[in-house]
Amino acid sequence: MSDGGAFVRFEDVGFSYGDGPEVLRDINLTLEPGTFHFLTGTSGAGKTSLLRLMYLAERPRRGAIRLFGRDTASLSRMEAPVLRRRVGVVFQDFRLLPHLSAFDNVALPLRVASVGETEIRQHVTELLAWVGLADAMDARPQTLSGGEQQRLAIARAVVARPDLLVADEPTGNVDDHNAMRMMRLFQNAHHYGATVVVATHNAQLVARYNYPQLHLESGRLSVLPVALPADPFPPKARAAGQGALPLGQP
Amino acid sequence: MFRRRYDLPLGRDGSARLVPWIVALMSYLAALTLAGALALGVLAWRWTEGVSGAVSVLLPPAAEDADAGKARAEKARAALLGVAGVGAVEALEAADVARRLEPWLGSGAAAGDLPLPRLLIVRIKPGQRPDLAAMRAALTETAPSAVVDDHGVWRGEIARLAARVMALAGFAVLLIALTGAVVVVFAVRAGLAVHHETIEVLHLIGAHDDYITRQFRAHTLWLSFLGGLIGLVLLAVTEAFLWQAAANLDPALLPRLDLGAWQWAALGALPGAAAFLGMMAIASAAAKRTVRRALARLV
Repeated sequence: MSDGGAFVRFEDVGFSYGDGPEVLRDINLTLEPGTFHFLTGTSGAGKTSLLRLMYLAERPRRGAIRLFGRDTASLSRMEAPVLRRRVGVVFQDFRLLPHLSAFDNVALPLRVASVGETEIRQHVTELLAWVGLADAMDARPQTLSGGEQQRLAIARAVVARPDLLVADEPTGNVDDHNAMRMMRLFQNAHHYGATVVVATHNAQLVARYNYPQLHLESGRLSVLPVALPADPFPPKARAAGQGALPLGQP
Repeated sequence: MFRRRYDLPLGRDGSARLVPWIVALMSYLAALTLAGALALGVLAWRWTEGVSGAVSVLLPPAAEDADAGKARAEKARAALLGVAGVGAVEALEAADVARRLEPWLGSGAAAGDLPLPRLLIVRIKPGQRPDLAAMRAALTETAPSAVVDDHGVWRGEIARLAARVMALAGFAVLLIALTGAVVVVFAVRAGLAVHHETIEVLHLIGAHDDYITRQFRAHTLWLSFLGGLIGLVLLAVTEAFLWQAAANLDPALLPRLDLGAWQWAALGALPGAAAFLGMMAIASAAAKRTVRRALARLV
């Protein structure tokens, strides 16, 4: 079922884990294509839960979620994965697969989408260069530093050129320099056309960029206004047939 | 077919290490059971085939000298040849009868110490049924106490025994197959638990259930393939041992298991192939079903 317009829309969404109390209440949210939002709130406010609903790891207990024009409640087991491939996720704990090389970790989203190995090699190589890991293609994630692992996780999230990129506390455990570096990667993906949601409780980071904020408090969502125009690059619509993300120095 | 790229580190999964050995044991037992049933079936067919189309006529021993006994047997033979459907009648010499009974009665039978019956083998013409009543009627004058036996009771017992053994073998194979399936299910479940996080990552980045199921299935098939090969080797060794043992059997006591090398190979190959392919099919189906049920619990 398509409603034709909504990119990401939450309508009166409530969510709880099992029979526990509601961690998200009456969430109403619309994300337009090509926007960049911070998702803020204290620990336990429900940021991760909201993101999990966005990348279809959970289903709402009540209300409706529409993703790319589709009502997620009506998705079949064959349709849901196809929608998930349009969402790139940077997990809070990275969730890189330790038995696979950096190259194979980044290649995973393309492999599950049955992309040819030649194309995979080209895109993954470019992307690893983009995140500054060109020399670490064969390295196992556990041999990389925290910052490198985070960049690897970002590369995996964007390799399939997702329409929606969500990141759960990506700058949580890195210094300012690495946090800025990661934000540049997100901006680059946004500039390319992806809608980006970055969950963070880092107030300095939020203040530095001044993107609109989705603020969660005790499971309730409010949208905070933008103080200053932030993105020097207006988002561009994705052109069909383009290659990997535009390269640049992160 | 099996060795493909796995995103899941299934090859390092300790819980699956025993699977080839258990599958080897299961397929060996299944093949051995099937081979035993097949061998018994062949033997039963040989035994019954050997006596079908023939009727035994037993002339009880009488107080007479050898020549009179021989003459009595000859008269009975002539009378039987006149019965419709009888093709030939062979009157066994007393020495032949003694030789056939020697394994049970010892050399005393051959020495003439025991009164032995005379035995006539009546061959029925092909396509005709033996008329036992007509034979008994033909013998009323020369040998009224003769026992005419077409071995029907014995053949029926053998056929029933063979059928029951076959049914038991089928049941045993079914139990073995179920055990094999349970082993695979537990191994796959253990694998699912061990690799739960990796599976969830694959699921969340857009892997279809089939993508994940294929990896478990291919890995399980590979392990079953290895197990099946080991089972076949065990079966071949067992057959070689049985072949040698059968060659040393006393042919007077039991029908000879005089199968050639190729017949022994066929006797092993058919059940071996059935067990091998069967176990692989069971492993594949069990893995597929188990993984699909587990994945269905993911959103």
